[in-house]
Amino acid sequence: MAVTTSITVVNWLLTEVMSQIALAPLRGKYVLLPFLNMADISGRSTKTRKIRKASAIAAAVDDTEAIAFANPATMGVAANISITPTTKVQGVQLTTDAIELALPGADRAAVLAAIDSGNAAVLPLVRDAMVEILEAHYLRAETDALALFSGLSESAGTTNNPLSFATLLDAMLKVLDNNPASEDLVFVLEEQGVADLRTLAASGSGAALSSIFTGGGVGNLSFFQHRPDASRNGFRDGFAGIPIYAANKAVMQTANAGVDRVSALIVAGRGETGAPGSVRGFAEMVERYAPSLEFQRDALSDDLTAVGRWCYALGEHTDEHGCKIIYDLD
Amino acid sequence: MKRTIKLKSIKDSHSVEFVDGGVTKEGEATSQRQALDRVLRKRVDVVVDGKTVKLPIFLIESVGAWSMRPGEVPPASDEALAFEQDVIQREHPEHLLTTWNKARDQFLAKSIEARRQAEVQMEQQLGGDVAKGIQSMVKALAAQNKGAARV
Repeated sequence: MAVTTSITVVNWLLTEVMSQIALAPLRGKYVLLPFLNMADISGRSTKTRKIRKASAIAAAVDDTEAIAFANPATMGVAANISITPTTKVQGVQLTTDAIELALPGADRAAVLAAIDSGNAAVLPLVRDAMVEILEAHYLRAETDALALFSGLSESAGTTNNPLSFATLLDAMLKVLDNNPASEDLVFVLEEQGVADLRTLAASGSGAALSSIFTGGGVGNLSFFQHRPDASRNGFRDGFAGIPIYAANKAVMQTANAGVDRVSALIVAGRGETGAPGSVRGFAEMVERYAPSLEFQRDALSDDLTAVGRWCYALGEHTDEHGCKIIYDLD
Repeated sequence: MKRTIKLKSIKDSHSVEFVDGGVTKEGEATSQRQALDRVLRKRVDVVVDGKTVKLPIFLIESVGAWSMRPGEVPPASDEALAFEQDVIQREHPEHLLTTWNKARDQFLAKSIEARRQAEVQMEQQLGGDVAKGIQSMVKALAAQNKGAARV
């Protein structure tokens, strides 16, 4: 017969866990998620979020005699983008023995009583389990977000070749040439890409390229500097005024049968796409319900099962706001 | 459940991979499948042989086998089967593929030319910067020599 711990305790712990994730060492890197639009559709009568995609606006015409709006400019709306959040699940099973070992001095009966009553003594262990579950969910979200790069229509870079400045410039041209709704751009690469750029600037075949930045004074090589940063947000300074971020390669896609890495130049998004004050990025994370964690002690298998569910989906809504960048992954 | 699907793009010579996560236990398309579906529905207007045609940006190159966890079965709902037939197994007529390949060749040629021009431009700019550097070095040396002469 299973006994569920108090919901109040779980809610309190969730807040605690969120703050722990922000500070915990050895956690995953969540680089791309902060640059996506975010929407919450919890409590709405639909399970699908629809994002409007307006077509180009026509310029107003002179109000001449002949104009009778034979061809009036109307605001066209291309097909909506639909994103349907689906539930992701992750769980951890803590054996009663493990809990007992983590509670020195407590006998088995005391351990079971502590679990059943949501006693504060077991909270650290339960909290660790919750952290692990939430980390797993964030990791999936970051993986799904990075996977969207592969589907961008625009691309820059050459297979089997290291990343170069020319490729970054090509990507900039392609995104800016699309006349994006916002020019707040971000390069999302990984360490090998950043290393390629540093190598090129220092001693590559384009070594003289450094004279463009240091000699000509028209740019900077700030990405060359490593900055100690405990937050691990992947920030690697910038190139041509655009910040460079290094994501975790383990959750990034490859191309050309595993030879190349897929990274991208994207427009950073903020807020719910289309909402007043928001900035339209290239993709949105739609949440139908926030991470929900529950605990259950199972007498039959003699363990405490922690299960976390999160209902969300990531979807690209503006293809013009991104250009994938392909380069040799090692 | 998941399988890897490779796509080729009309705009470049790369082959990208997508994970198809199948359906959830409620039978809904997973977010990975939604992303794949969206990508395969992307279209672009291209002029081929003087005619403007709307062509898919991505075509399926290969479909990997399902990898299942114990107890999982391939999606078999009507919706899932329709997705399999309309999106994954969809066959394009020969003339469309010919047009698609022609359009791809056009995009690639344009891209190669743009890259060549960018490289030439960069070389020229670099050359200019190096020349400026040498000029300033020569000037500095001349000034140094003048000072030495004065002593």
